[in-house]
Amino acid sequence: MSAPTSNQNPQSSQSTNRFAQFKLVLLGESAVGKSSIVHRFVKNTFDDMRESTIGAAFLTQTITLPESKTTIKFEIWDTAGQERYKSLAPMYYRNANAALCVYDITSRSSFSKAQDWIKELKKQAPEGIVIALVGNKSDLADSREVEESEVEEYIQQASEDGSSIITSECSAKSGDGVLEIFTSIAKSLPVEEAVGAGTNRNRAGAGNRRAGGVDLGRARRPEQASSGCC
Amino acid sequence: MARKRTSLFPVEASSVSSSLLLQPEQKSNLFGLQEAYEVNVNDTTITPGSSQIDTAYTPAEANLGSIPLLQQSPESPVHGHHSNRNTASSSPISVINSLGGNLHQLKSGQINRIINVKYSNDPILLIKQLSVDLAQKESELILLRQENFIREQQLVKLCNEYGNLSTLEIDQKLKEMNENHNSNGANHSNNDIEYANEQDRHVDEILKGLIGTAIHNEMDTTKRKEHETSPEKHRKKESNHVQAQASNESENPFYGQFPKPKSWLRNWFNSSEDLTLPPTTQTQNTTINNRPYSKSFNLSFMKNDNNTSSKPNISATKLPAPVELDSIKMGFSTSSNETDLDESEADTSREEVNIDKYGFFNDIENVLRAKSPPPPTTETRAASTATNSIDESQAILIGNRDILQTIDQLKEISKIHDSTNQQIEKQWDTLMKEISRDFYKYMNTDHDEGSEMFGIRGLNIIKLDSRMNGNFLNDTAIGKIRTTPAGPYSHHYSQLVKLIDKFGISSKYRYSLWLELSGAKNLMVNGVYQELLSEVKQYEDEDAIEAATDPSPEVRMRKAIIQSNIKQIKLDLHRTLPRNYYFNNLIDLKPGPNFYKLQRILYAFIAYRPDIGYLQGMNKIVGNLLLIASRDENKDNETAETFSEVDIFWIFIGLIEEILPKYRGPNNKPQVFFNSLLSIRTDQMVLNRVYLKKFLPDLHHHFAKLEVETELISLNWWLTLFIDLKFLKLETWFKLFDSLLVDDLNVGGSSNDSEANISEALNLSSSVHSVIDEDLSTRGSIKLICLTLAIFKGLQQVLLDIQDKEFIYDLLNSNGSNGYRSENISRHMGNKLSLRYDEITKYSISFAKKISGIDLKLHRREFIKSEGY
Repeated sequence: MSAPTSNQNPQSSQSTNRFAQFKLVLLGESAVGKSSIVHRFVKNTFDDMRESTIGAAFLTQTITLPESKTTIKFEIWDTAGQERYKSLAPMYYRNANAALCVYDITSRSSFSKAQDWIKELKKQAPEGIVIALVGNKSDLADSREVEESEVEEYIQQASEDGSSIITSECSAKSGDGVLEIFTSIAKSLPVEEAVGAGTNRNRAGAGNRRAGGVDLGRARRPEQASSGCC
Repeated sequence: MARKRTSLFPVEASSVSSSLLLQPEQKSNLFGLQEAYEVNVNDTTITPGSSQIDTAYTPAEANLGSIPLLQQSPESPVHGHHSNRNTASSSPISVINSLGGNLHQLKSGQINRIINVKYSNDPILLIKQLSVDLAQKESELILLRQENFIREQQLVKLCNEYGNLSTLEIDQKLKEMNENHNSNGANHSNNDIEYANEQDRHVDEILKGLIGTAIHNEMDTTKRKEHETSPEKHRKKESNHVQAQASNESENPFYGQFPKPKSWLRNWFNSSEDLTLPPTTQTQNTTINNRPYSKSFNLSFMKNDNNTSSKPNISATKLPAPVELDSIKMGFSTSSNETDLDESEADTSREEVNIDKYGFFNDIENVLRAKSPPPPTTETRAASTATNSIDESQAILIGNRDILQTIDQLKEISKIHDSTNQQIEKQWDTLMKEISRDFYKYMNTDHDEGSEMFGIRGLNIIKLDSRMNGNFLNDTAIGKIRTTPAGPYSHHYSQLVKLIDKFGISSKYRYSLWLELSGAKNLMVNGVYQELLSEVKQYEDEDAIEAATDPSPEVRMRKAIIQSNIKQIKLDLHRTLPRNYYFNNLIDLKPGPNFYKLQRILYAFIAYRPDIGYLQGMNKIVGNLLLIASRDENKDNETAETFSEVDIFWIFIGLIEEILPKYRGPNNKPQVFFNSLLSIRTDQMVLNRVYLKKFLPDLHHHFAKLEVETELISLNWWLTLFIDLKFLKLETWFKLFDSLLVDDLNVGGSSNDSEANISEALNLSSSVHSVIDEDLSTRGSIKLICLTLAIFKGLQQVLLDIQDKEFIYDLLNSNGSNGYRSENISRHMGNKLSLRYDEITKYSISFAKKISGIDLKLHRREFIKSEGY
């Protein structure tokens, strides 16, 4: 079991000098297991009796990249999957640094939905957003509908524009592959750029940061300054 | 004195008690107490009305039965302590092991030996240790006091919520009662011994009483047969105990005041039924259907195997703030071989399920554990129960006096609660009588009004009010009246609104009022529900390909829409209230009755309004509405009509058609709430960036500082009509629903908005698919905006103290919490989060006066422009 412990806070890694915070959003068809992936990552639990997400849920988790001695905090927005909520998605992926487009390997339709999300993100989301295409429910490989070769095929075609997409399969139920996804996202994130800002956030008291921050969540990170709103 | 008390009775704050529960002997047991009397504060606070605790109230007469739970050595002649160790003065090793408490009882020589053996002949070390321990105990005591104080505040809040009693009044009553109690206490112990001794006696007797009665209860309710065979001595004592109870009843004024239970609280107090369900027997499971909110109460006893003496642990799961007194946890596990206890344990098949009055499993982990193969053995189960109760409860040891007082206070509170409930009922009775009298006097000739006394959102009451003043007003005039705060014309209407805002609709009248005020009664057509259902059922089974062969494109379209909705509904049914017995019967591992009701209602809905279709969130709203129905179904009170599945369906339709805001769609056509996600979103922007900033600047600043995006929080509240606020008690949510059904008396300032209100009133009188004036669209929104602001205001103090962004989201958004309602949260936050309904409405009304529809529309436009939509 390679799931994270829930106690990886920045304090525990005093030796690492770098701290960066990123916003990550989960998108994907209803019931593919977005919330379950997040809860596996954040709390290392799996719950059979999960309620359907309405609107969105907010969670955070911190991981440390030992090689670069960097602690990365993910601010995660876990969105509702129903197609009809799509119009609200920009509220959540606005300012996002990373997006997890989740599909269910036992559902072909969820795979094409995930592709739609990638398309939309490329068009609407902030430039430089790290995109991961994640197939959940790998424990149900017996009823697999989406072959890994298909995913590869799609990725080749999708990265013709020069973008790179992380792909992986995981099982929120067993925990397999979940942490790996977030780690590889963390490695792809522009840590160097964000570290400066992150350290400031961390060190400066909550009070004197960006006085009068009315415009919530805007212009938080350097790369977002250039990104227009949805 | 204080020191003696601590030494006699270890006071543990919640933070440290769990370790004590687990391994009592590992804790430094300095003050000579090996018996851990652990009483969960929360549970004791909720138990006053239960008969067994009532008897515990008179500990002198209560008995321990034949259960030697407390092994007692002869009293020390010096201090009158009940020493817990027979060996205390004989074995130096045991003395050393349990050093501390009984030091004063030892001879000087023994103390010298201790110093020699344990402290390398350095008395200073001993003194230091004693002083450290003392300080520790002191700090624990302080923590306990703090807990108790919070508890008391919570209880006062309870009184406030139900009783509408001022804090002063409660204080006064409690004071009187405390005085009574003190004199009673003196009588009970008809001894002239010094106070300390008396108090000490008290302690043991109270505990014996508590334990004894708990056991009795267990025997009485579930262990009849075994009980017959219990030792003669026990039975004899039991008869004493019954006598004691009887005499207590005659003396105790509270008993006289419990005639026929009306409120659920009373039901709870009087019920002795157990919700204990052996999962194997179907027959017993039906009990749960009949009595969903009957309560049972056991104290659980766990013998700690690694201890020589049996340890009574009165512990139970910690309960949420008992504002609604939802449930009480029962757990009974023991591996004791002594007397009656093993007999109760003999029934190993028995599993206990803790379900609250709305069907929520409270100790779901236990239920699941019990379900998971292989079934746990007696030992492991006892252990797991122990661990579980610790995890969940962080049981708190509280002093004996506190138990007594808490019990008394709770009795008093329940009395206040009940009498208040009666008063509220009376007010409702009076108003309803008046309205019905005047209705038949002034309106019965008016065939236009049909049989509806109240009408949608109370419109007919307004008409009645004007009629009574001799004004056969047209709708325009009625619109004007609506804007008059509490003018003579709107006598009945304003009374109705005020009563709803203050207490919510009395459960006695909720049925008829919900149906009328929501517009359900007006919309309802017999047989339609069944027709819709049979149509959907047919589509559900049909293949999508088959559907494509249908002749008319309209039918094909309709089928396709319905089928895609069915697909989504099916995904969500299992994910709606999965921790509720009525939705997910974890005992039999099958869906509960409400699962199918929800399915049918949503199916019928998508066929009734395919143009709206299913939107996630509807499942939560309908699901929770169904809980009031399931509760009513099981109500003993046969007079009150109960909501049927069909009623809930039409109430939901009424909610959409008449109650919730309507917006303008892209083609300027009116659009119902659930079709207007982007407009709802715009309203969140206005709400949080304009109104929150304007009316709650501190909070707005705080959120901005922490980068909390409040519009994303309030959006969830709106999409679920506030059910997403997990710490809002379901009872309170039903009341919020009540208040949604009537308009505030003075929305948006009557002066500059009266024209809008007039047109609004005009529209109200026309029926279902009326053309909606743009002004009408602001009415519903203002109500929701004001409620949202009111909730923020109610939580302001708590929220301002929280510096952690994630915690704020976690508190205010239930998505992450997986369906637990307030229980978990209040465990952390105590009473701070118990939002009072009348507080919310009070704030909401004050906000409503400041927000006008015109203002809202202007801000909406600004945002739409600036965001480029």
